[in-house]
Amino acid sequence: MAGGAGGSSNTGGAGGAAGGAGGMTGGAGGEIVEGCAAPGQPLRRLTRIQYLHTINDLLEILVGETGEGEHFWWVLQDWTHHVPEDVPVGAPNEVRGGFRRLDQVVYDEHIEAALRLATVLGGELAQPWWARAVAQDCDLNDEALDCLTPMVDRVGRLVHRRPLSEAERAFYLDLYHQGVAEAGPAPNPDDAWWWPKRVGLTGMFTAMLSAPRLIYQVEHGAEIIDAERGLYALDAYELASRLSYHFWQSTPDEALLNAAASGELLTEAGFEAEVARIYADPRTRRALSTFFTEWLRLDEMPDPARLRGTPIFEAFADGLEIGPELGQAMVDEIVSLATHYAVDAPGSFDDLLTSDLNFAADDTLATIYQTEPWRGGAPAALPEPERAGLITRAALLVSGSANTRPILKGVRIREAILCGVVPPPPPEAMAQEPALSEQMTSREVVESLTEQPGTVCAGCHTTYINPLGFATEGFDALGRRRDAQGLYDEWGNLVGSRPIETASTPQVITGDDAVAEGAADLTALILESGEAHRCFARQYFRFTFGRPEHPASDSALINGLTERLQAGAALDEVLVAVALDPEFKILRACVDGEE
Amino acid sequence: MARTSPQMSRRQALRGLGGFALAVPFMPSLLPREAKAQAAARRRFVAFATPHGGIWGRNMYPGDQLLTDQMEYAGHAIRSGLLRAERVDSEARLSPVLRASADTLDEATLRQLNVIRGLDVPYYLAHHRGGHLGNFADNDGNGSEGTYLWRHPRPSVDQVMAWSPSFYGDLTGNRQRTLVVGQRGLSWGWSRPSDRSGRLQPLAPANRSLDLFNRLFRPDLDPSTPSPLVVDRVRESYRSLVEGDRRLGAADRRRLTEHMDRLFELERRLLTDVQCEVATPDDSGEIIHDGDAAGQVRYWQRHNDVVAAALGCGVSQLAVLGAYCTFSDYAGDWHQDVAHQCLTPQRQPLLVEAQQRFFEHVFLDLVRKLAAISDPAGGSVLDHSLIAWSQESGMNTHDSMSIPLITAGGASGGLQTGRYVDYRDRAVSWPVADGASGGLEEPNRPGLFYNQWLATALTAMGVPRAEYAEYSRDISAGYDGAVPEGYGVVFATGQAEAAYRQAWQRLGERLPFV
Repeated sequence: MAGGAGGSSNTGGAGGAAGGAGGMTGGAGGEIVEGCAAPGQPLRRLTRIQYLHTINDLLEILVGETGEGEHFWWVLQDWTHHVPEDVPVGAPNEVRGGFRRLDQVVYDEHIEAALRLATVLGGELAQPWWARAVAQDCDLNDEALDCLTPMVDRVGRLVHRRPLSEAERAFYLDLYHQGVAEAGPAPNPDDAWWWPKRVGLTGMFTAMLSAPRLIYQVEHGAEIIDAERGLYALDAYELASRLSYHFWQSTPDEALLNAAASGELLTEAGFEAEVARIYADPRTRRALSTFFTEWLRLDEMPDPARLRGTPIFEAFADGLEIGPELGQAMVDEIVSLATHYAVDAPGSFDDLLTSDLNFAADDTLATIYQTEPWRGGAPAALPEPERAGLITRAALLVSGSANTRPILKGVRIREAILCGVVPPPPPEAMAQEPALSEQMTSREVVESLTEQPGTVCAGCHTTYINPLGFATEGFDALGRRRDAQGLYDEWGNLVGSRPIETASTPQVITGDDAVAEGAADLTALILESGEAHRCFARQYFRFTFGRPEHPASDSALINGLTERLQAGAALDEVLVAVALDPEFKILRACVDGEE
Repeated sequence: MARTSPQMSRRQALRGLGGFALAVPFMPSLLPREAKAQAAARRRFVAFATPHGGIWGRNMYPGDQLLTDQMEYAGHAIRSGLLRAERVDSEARLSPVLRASADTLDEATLRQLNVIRGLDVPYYLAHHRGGHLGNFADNDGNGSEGTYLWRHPRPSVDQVMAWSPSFYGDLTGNRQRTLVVGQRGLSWGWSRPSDRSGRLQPLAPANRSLDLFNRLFRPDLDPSTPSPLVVDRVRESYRSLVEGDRRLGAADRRRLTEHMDRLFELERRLLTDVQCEVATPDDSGEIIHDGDAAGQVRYWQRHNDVVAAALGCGVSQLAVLGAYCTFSDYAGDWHQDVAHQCLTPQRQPLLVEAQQRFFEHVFLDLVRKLAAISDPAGGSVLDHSLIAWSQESGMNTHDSMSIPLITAGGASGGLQTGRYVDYRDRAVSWPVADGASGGLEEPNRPGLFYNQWLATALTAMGVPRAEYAEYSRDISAGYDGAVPEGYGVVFATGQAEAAYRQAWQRLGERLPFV
């Protein structure tokens, strides 16, 4: 795997610390503010993906009709690496996982990248052919500049996500005129006819694309709902932005802005109609992809090709072609699977967790599943009866080496799917990796290392972590079905084989002594407990509102979502329900120590 | 304030050390007399950080025969002596890690180095980045002590310097206060740095030397460089929102104000005139691959080129370089299979080889580049710099006793150099690890707090204690609660509490021997 210095995966250890000091940066990081019934988040910065989608979609609206918008697409591609990556942020004291929407740190690089991109795009849009498109073919050569004000209003409405105020309009017009006045002679005499306008438009467009109302979600609410608790109803444009950024990761389109302008969005029927329209739009898949990826921590998935070329791994791979694209294919499969039940053929949360449908579009992944690649359309069932359910998909099994990692699998299920809290390991616990053995299975190695009676490790591992990971030991470190584990020496020679044991007592609910014979049983216990439904509701709440839940004020919403999920409601209904809840339309102005 | 930007009357070309030619006009004899008289040394600080550590003492440090001087300090004997390298064929050798070709590690270079042993973070601090520069809260919480430290974040010392009026009293020619390269989490500053307020947050690192170079030296050629006029007007739009929208909450205003502050800083940088001629490097070698030690070295040498040019030209005086590479051709899981197995005789040589490669080809590479540039205040840029290389851990990965520290440069007389220093109390012996210790037979021995080094670095850079005293705090239960004078959070518990009591009392002092 290649990367910049910050991205080198091989240095390993510290790599997991993104959330470690998360409570420090806080990001949106979920501070519980005393005196605040339920704190909101101040002035949310667009995430990296939201910002880039916003710019892309704005350009599509402004110049897409020319049919030559690809030019701007390439400009954007050149720029994506300048915008800082967000990091997943969880609730306070959560060591792992989280959502990037909660990362609200603003770096110099955010500001500079936005300004530089705006400068480049501003310069491009000020070219006469693009400016004409932005002005909707109004004649910008007209000295009276009758086109300018409508153009400013149009672009301003799109980038501010609301109509410009008089002052804002005057500000941008003034910026244009100032540029014209200071343009000086054209560098190329052939361009003299356009040069002053170009300088004026460049400055104006650059300022527009750098506007605080573009980079932040500015909300101040309209009418007061509860002054004492700092609750305000969002105005129509703020609501439009909330909807589009939640479901599309991007700016409102013209239709949504029009619904806000007409007041239709503030009516119950109008709002529900817009929610339905937005959810049905393909752009919703953007947000769902992000949500499912972050919920299941798929971007933490080890690269399955990481040890390619090493003796043990090559022997273990047994001729399977493990390319650099396999990891992403595994992630894509999960996203396709989840999106299938959330959008394409709505199904319940239980359907998602127990699904046997094939979405393996990659040849190697399909080989791992002993089936043909999925080429779109209606998916077939996977042939292996044991591969039932989300936790048997390769992305949740792969370890990046030849041995499975039952501990990491268990932690992911406990934390991401059950919302359990796994305490940090004691000092030096990480120093002894469960390594491959020539005599023992991965499970036996883990048991010998972490389940010795009386040790500090055993307390968590024996009941809380390992059993959840043991249940999927019927699949190897690439996700292939197995009944036995091959044992290798350090030169990659197969020196033995041991039968796999998948039975465990996972204690999905503490104290429950039910035994899971394998992955299917574990999935059943997880669903039976109802904890996964509650956890999913909580995770989706955090993703939606960009903050951790507050026990006092957010329980009702989360409970409502949980009940729908437990009752078998279709996922699309649940995912939409959060927007239909009154909380979605509220600004919590009490933040960060304010009352 | 005296302007120390050099004149362009003569240039010293620095060629062949890196991928581009640096024409640095630092020849004091040709400066106008007045300018020369006014020239005050600008101090520079560079921090290199490498992950893991896990180098056994006998592999990391010179032999005891160099420790010819001894004094009582903090209740025990500490030792020091002049650095002397052993010649083995064409190599100069201080230790298995600290060795290089004799041309590279020559006598002049040796006189600029310090090798410091016995600086401790006496609690379990795993997977940390922030600890190198004083933010011990940036760790992954692996262990209750690490989690406890989460509550006590601190700005890193480079950011204290970056916003210190004593360090950066004159920003003439400065394009960027701090160059952060390679690894997030080493450098921590404020969300509103201009008045050192707001939340603490990491600085985002640069990972492409060409981008960094262009930002520093070629903004005029970059079509994305905004005009100061536009930046000013963008800032105006923020101000209008802050002042014009009365319904915005205080927290919203605070965020916008922080944004405006940063725009102001950006505007300052854009308006800064740079008076150096530096040839643009090509864009090769910007990507690192695991298991490609030579490529990793090239990558960091390219960044060294940019750092040397920046420090030489005065476009920055601070650099934080998180060299989180393996510096090894080993293609497997370095962290688990090598770093965590550092106590085994099979894996220790891999770590030694990797750190030696970093020392010779990255650390000394920058040392030599800075030594080759003249400073207008006299001497070389290296003479006015402090380059520090710290490893994440001591002799065992995630064990923070005796974090190796190698320095170079005299910091304009702020630091004595050319010494091997050992602050450990040899009368005390603690096992390095529970259970099997592999081939390592050396125990840990308590020395001085790492916090004392951080304060020493600040002092050497001319930052008075008054500018960072607010960040000093003792969170140990057993001490008397008085505010310690070292930098940052001081914590000792269990057996360390008694062992470091006298060291705790000396925290405010400059480290002895250096």
